Amino acid sequence: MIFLFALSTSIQAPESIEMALDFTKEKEATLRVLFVLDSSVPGTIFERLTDIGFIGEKPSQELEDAVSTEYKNQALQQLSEIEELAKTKSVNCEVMLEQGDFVECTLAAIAKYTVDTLIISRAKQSALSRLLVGSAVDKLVRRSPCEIKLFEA
Amino acid sequence: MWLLTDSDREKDDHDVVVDSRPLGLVLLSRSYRWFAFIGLGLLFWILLSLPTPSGLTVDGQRALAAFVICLILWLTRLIPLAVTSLLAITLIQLLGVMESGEAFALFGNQAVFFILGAFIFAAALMKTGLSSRIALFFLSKFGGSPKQLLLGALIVPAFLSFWMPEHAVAAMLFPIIIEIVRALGTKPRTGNFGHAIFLSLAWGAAIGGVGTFLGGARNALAVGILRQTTGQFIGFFEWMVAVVPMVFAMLIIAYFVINRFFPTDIDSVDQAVEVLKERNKQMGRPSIEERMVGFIMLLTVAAWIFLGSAVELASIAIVAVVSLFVFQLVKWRDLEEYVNWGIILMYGGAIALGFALEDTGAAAWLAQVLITRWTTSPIIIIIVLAFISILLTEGMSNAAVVAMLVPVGLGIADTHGIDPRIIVFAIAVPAGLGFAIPMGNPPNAIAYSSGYIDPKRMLKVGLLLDLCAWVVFVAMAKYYWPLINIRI
Repeated sequence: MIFLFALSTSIQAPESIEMALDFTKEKEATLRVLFVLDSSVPGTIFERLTDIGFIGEKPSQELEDAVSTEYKNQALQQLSEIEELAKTKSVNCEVMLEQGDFVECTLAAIAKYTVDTLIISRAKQSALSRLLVGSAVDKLVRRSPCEIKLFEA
Repeated sequence: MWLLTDSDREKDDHDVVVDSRPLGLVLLSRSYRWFAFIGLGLLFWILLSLPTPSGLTVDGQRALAAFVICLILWLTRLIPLAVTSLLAITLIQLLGVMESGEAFALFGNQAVFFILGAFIFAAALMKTGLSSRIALFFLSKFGGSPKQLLLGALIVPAFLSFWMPEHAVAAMLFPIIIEIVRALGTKPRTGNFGHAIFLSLAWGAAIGGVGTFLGGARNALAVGILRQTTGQFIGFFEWMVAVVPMVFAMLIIAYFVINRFFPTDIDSVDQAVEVLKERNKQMGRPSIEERMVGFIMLLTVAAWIFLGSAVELASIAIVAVVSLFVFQLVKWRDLEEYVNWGIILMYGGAIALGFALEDTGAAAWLAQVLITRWTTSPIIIIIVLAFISILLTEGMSNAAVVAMLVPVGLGIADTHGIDPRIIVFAIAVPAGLGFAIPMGNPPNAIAYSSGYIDPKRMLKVGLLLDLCAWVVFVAMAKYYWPLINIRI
């Protein structure tokens, strides 16, 4: 069995990492961990900065580059910690990093690796807020072709 | 570990995505903008069609209708702030509140050109690398301990924000701070030091930004509206004398608050010192361009301080900008890359709207309805205005807060014989002091974008600092300003 654990820049749930590893071990599956560098996150921030802060194009671009590099470093660090933790728990685990839209990248990975179960986590959000604003996790839940294990942090 | 590429993905262009939310919500989420614009149009029509309230002129009612629409657009950001300002200037002349020539001429207000000059100067400081050099020089003096480094991360942006826009300072220092936290191995979101140093950067820049006209362009905007509507003026030096003591007080408070709520969880900053040393080394010796820009900057600031009462501040700014080109220190292309020209539209429109509200008596009427009906005590009015300003700036652009509140505040000053300069201070200064919400002001947004800040912790501590800023401001107004002849 292949499980896919999807993480992104905006989805932070440290406790769910341990849960995902334990769940994989319990089911004797292989865990693929996908971290998606969500390009829309710095994009949204800097669009707003240009609007409210009247920040020039070049400093804005430099800042965006610095933030993107930092997000990549943070993602690599998190993936490396997951790899280490998986080793100590004797879980068969492979990690990958991708840049793009969280939902699309995750769906592509599900198809590519014929994933049996998708593991995702999300921060607590009111039902009303989820209904009105929606969330990437909700979109995944609606569109995922495979079984889903959802951890609410 | 491997990296997938776009070509690895097998996308099916014929995928049909089914949105399983209730139909009403799907429709609402996809078309809310159009509903909002239709609603705004209806509201505008209703405001214009209502019987004119007693005490308000027809022109005043029209100016108020334009004001309400712009206020909603500034608040919701359905369209960019600068475009809303363009709409403001168009509405007031289409409604006949102001002659078209008069309305468009307000884009040429002195404050707009002063702000433009300040932004161009900031561009020269960044382009030549002088701003980074100054930042690195001072930061490297604070490498003795984690607490010292935090103090540096608070003071250096505050000091730089006296001379260039606060968001430019935060943007410039951001990569340096990122490098420092990485070198120190601080954990994103969970590490106290990561929180502390990024909040020091954001809050230091914001606090410093209230100290002069250069750090926060809203200060110059507020003075521009004051001048356009009352003929009164606050000079560059006069502003600094009135506000800089508050900056020092807030820096001290912010330092203690940060250390109290984010006690340092690292023992040494040796690696950070190495980063700063390396960065300093990479900078090499100061270039001729850097020295020249520094020299012109010093001369310009001296002229603003000593000649500000005799010579127009905007003229001094423009002479300085011209000299940058005379000595070939910057190229026009550099300015295009560093300056966001939307600022001219934003500030020009805001000044025009403020003038229209004041000129038609709408500001005085609004002030009567909203505030002076409930109290006539000048100190209470100042306290309330400062509170509203801090509250609003957490949710909307601080320039929009100034554009919205200053005309109303000047209306209050007019009807109650309060010195209008105090009203300008009471709105513009707190408008720069939003600490709690990541998107409240640009330095907060920049620091938050690092990924090192937990927004809940920022909100909690930031609200406390908001409260402190409010109390300090009121204390300054009550006890310090009378000493410098600004009496409530």
